[in-house]
Amino acid sequence: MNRISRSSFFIFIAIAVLAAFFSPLASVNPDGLDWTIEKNTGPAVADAEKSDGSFLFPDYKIPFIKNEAASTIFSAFIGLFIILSFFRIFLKSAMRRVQPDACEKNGMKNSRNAL
Amino acid sequence: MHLPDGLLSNGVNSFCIPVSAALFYVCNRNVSKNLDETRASIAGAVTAFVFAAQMINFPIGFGASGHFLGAFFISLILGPYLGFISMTVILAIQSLFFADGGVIAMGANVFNMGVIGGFLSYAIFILLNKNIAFFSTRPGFLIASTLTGYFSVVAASFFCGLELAFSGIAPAAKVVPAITFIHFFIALGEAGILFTMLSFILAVRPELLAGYLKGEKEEFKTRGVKEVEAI
Repeated sequence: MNRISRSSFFIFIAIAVLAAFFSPLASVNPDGLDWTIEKNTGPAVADAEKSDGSFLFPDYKIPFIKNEAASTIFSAFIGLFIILSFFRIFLKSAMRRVQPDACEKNGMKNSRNAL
Repeated sequence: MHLPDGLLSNGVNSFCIPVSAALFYVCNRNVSKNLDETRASIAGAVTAFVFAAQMINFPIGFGASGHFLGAFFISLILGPYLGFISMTVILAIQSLFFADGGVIAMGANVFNMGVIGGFLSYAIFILLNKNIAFFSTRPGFLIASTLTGYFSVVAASFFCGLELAFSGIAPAAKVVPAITFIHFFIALGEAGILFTMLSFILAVRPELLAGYLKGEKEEFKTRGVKEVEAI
C-alpha cells in the first residue's frame, strides 16, 4: 500500500474508532421504521418486530459487560474487527482466483500486508 | 430502516432475496477481476466507518430517531460494485451478530439500502455528474452528492413502506406516506453527515473523489496516483 492509500485507510479507521466511542450517546428513540410501525399497526405487530434475544450481541450489547456504555463501545469494536477481517479474506480469495500463479509468488505476500 | 424477520410476507421476501443475491453475484464477479490491495484496504476502512456511524442514532423530533445510511457515500468512494458488496457486508454483520435487521429479511434490507440507496442513487448522481458541467466542479459535486444522499434515504424508505404494505402490515395509503414522511427528516441528517464527510475528503484526500471532478482525475493520473483508478 502506498503512502496515500495508507493515510486514507487510517483516516477512515480513525473516524470509525471515534464514532465507536460516541455510539453510547445514540438516541434511544425508535428509528424511522419502528416509529412508523408503532404509529400505524397494532401492538401485536410492534411486539413481533422486537428481536428474540437469540443473537451473540443483541442490540449492540455484550451480555457479560454490565456497564452499558462500555458494552456498546466494545460491540462496535467487534463489528469493526469482523469487517476488516472480511475484507482481508475477500482480498486474498479474489487475488487467488484472478492470479493464482502470481499469488503464489508475490500476491499472497502482498495481500498479507493489506489491512 | 433495518427490517426484522416476521414482518414481510413470503411473496415480498421471494422477490427481494433473488434480486439482491443476483446483484451481489454480478458485483462480486466484477470486483474480483480488479481488486487489489489498495481498493480492498480502503473498502475495509470505509465499510468500518459506515458501520460505526450507523450505530449513532440522532433525534429528529416526533419522538423518533434516525441514523446515517451511508449506502450512497460508500458507492461514491468505492464505486457502485464494491460499494454494494460493502453495504451487504454491513447489513449481514448487523443481522447475524447484532440482531439489527432480520436474517430472512436481509434480502429486503439489501434491496432497500444497497440497491435503491446505493445503486439507484449512484446511477442518478452519475447522470447529473456526467451531463451537467456544473456538477463536476467541486461546489457542484458537493451539491449534487448531498442532494442525492438525501434522495437515497427517502427512496429507500419509500420502497421499505411498499414492502410493508405488500406484506399486509398496514394499508399502503397509511404506511408509505408515514415512513416516507419521517425519513424526510432523517435524510436531513444523512445530507449533513454526507456534506461534512465529502468536504473533509475533498480537503485532505481529493484523490478518492477525483473521478467525479472535471480535470482532476487526469491531473492525479499524470502524477501516478493509483486511487483515482478505483472509480
